[in-house]
Amino acid sequence: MTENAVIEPLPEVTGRKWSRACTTDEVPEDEGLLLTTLPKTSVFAADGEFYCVDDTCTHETYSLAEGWLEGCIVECTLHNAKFDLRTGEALSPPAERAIAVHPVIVKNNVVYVALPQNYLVKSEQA
Amino acid sequence: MTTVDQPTPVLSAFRNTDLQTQHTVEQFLYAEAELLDDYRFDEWIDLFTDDVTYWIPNRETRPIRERHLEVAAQDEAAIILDDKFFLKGRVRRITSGISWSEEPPSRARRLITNIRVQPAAKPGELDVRSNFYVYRSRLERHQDWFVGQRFDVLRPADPASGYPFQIANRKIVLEQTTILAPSLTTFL
Amino acid sequence: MVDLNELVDSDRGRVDPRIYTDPGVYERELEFVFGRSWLFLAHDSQLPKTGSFIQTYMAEDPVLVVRQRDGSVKAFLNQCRHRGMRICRADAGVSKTFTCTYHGWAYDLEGNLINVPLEDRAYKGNLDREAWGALKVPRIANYRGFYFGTWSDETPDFEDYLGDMAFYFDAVADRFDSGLEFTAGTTKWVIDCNWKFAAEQFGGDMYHTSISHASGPIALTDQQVVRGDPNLVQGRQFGGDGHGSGGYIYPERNMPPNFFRGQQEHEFTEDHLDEIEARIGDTRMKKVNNHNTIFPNFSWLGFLWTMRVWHPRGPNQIEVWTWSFVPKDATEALKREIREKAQRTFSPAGVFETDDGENWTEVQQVLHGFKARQNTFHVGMGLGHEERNAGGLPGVTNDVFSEVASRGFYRRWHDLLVGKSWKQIQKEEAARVSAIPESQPELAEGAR
Repeated sequence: MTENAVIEPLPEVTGRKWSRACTTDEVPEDEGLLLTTLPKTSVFAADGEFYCVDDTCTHETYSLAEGWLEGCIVECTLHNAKFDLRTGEALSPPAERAIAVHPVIVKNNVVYVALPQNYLVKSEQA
Repeated sequence: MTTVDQPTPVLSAFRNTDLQTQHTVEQFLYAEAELLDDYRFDEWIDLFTDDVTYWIPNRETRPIRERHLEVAAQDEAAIILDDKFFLKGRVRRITSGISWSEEPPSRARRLITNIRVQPAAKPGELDVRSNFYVYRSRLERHQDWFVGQRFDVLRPADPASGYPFQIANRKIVLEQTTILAPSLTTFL
Repeated sequence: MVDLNELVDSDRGRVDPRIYTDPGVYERELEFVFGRSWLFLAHDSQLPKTGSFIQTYMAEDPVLVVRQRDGSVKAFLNQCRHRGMRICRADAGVSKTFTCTYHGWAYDLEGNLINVPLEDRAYKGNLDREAWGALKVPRIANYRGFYFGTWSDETPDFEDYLGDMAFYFDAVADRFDSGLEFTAGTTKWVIDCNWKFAAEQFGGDMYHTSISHASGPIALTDQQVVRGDPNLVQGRQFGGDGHGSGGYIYPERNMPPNFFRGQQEHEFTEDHLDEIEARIGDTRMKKVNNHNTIFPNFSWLGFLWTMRVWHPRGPNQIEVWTWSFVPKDATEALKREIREKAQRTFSPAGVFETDDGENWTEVQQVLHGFKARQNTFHVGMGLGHEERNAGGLPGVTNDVFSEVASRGFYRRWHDLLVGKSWKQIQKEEAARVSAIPESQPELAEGAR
């Protein structure tokens, strides 16, 4: 991840900062790419769009990046809770609380995500 | 004249088959079962076209994500995948008098139900699904049940044969993944 | 009560039929025989990618065999450590984790416990997750792509366990440059018989074939079946360390081609003669490609391309799990031909296999009788006519119509059952083998 390494100006989102997350081809087809942030976030490629969500399942603490991706729905591999990547909504028990969804912009095959100010972004170049 | 109406364009399991076609298909399948139940294997084998494939694919329990893999494809395991030559061979064997899993012969009764008819890809042919419940009793007290679904393709036959159709394809999907029988020598 | 010491007399070729029926003997063989042997788990080709798994059994114990992220294969008991339900209830598939659907204890691909629902609230920091992972199969051997596992620390290393059988196993496992692959899917069925009938027969019984399977070839050819005079047919049977291997000379060439060998296979074999000979040598190429058992319950028929495990299900039942196998670099047409041949001959509907099920079921049924169970069985065929290293075949062999492998099978089974140490078992085996006269009679090669 690189913070503020944006060449072209991206639209301002209140309370959020844009970061370069990855290139589009780094995102696997059938699961998510875990980003080096705190709290953890991950990027998914689903139905031709890119999505960024909080990575931790709201049921038990497990990475959704390792989950099963079907269309825009990610299923936690541990207890099969399902979330909509577009809205963050919990679609299937045992999860009941939504996951946070973050704005994404793709430019020149680079995925940028707008994370809340209080999210820590660890720079890999650092 | 065969008419099988598909009244609505939606994907429906309902098939409004005309009475005559439905009746003829049913009576044909019952006649087939009768030949087998009555050990008339040499007549039974003539009900199959020379280009028939007779196939019982393997079946496994799969997680829900992999349900499409539950019934094996043709390049995977099968219990039987025969052409006419080898299907005939099975009949030759069973009627040989030295085929010890059927000598003395088992007694079997076939219940063929839920017969559903629709036009097949080739004009004039019919796709016929039927459910079967086959009971086999063997020797003193051995018994097996084979339950499943058949996917047949029926082709109009020479009326001189005494039968309206020949079976041009048969796929048999058993419900058991572990076959609870020591041998499957009963034709399904 | 059954006196364990009296059950098997391999020196005289006698077995007490209660070895096939007695529940106490069965419980003991689960612990002392299966628990101390190498058991077949999976072939490499069944686990193509990370997370690929199959659920199999080690005797009656369900086991998950899983391809790891580092490419290795690990196995663990498919039993949740909390209340003991199966962690995974599918036969095969690809997974990332395995979660018990009772209370949700979740395990990673190695069987480590990685998540317990409500852990903080319910266990209040008192659950040592590391100590409550699934029970791992502690020893796994990868022999030419065949994975075997054992629960026992005492059992010799796999190659040592194979002994001279390695030579016979390699005839199939090391036959082709490209290696082998299993056809996808495991075909399973149930036979009401003791597992030893099946395992022993595949190791040491060519004798039954012309009677039991008299009708098999009829299904495969519409020509008259010519089997040849069984008094003249050449072949040997090997028995050692409980394993067995036997058959006629060069079956794939000497059997009538139209019923055991299709055109694709014929061309492939003829094209690969030099390759096969370079890998396994002339002797093995011609003399070893038929019936085999690796003790206790993994068997195959070389030229019929079928492999199987006889899983015990109590003293009176088995599950047969079978796969066909093909050379990895075979054309799709050849793979299809081989697969269909294996299915047609050896499967629940196989035109040979169905005869075996009939026999074993019948024997087991008769053994309900009290007198029947007191009636000693004869396993003495060819007794005293063993030879060592005969005709280029290592270890102890005998005529193809003998029971040298069966006697060895029951001896090894009995030695383990009564609780002899592996050290003692191997010492006694070595002494017995070296006492058998070494000879090099030139075996007639048969019509080839």
